[in-house]
Amino acid sequence: MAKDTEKPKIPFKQRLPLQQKQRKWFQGLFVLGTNSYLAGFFKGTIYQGPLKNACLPGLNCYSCPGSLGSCPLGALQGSISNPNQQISFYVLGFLTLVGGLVGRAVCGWACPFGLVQDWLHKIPTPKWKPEHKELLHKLLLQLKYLLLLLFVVLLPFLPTVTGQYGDVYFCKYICPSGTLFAGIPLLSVNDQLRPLAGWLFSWKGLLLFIFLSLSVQISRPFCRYVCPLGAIYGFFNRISLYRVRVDHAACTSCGNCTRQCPMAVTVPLDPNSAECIRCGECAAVCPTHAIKVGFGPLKEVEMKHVDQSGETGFGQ
Amino acid sequence: MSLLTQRIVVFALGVILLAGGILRGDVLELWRRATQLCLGCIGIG
Repeated sequence: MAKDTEKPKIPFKQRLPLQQKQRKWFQGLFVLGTNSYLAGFFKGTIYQGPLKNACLPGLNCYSCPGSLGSCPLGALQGSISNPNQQISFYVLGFLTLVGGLVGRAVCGWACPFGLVQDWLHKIPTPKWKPEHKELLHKLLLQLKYLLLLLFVVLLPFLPTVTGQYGDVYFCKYICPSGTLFAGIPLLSVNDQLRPLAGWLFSWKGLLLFIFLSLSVQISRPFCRYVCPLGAIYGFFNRISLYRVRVDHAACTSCGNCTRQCPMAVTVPLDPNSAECIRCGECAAVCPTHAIKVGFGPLKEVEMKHVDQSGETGFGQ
Repeated sequence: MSLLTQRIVVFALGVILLAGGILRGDVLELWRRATQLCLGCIGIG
């Protein structure tokens, strides 16, 4: 494991620019606000009121005792796996509109599991950057698309061809957010559910442990490589209204932004990459303020610093 | 296709899908599902 010694030194006054402060507050308040059915945590039940009509943007399990809304990924799988129902246009429309508006800013600003990974990564240990192993990193980046196709679409859908009910495969066998925010709190409090926990709970507990442990050393490993919801929002990143803009005339090619990026995006070359979660870390460390993140007019210029060999000066 | 055109297409598609889903009753179906405990999600199955 390579020690993360290359992170740019940020002067104290610049450590938390306004946008970063806003993001941290927004993340915390959004997750608390949308999971504020406190009675559920004490009774071991879930909220069943009218707000469950609405989807939440992030990977927020609807079986979380505090959750006021529905997870779009769970809802999508649910509709796909039901032979008596067509795929939910409502959820697809929601994902399309949210993706068009903010893209993967959802991951950076509103996802509870993203918040947990951010917190864990603050633990001061040597950090590991998988992007230094380029082939491994590039292969792993494709994993979330494979999981989207297989666990969210094909496996839930196939049994419905013969009129049988499918299952919510991603939620059931992989989603660590569901284990953390729904499984553990419910089983801790609900005496009737606890005896039912078997091998599946152990499996999901093991996956959760792996993702949480990795989060300490790798920045957002689940978001980078596994999350199908991030994959869906990533499709919209290039056109979303909330975006990253780079003023190439002001850019000095120092590479600070790329080294700081938690998602290993080469910011000046591909500021609106499908991996970008709009966290604004790049803008915070830019010494010339050449990077802006937000809504507003498009002022992007094609990258000028790429020579024939592909050498960019924005090394990772 | 220009960025503006792509955005118009995406937002139009999103609005049509959302409105179509609401009219078709997808919201009620979502509410029915989301108010039941998802045993698989919590690791019981």
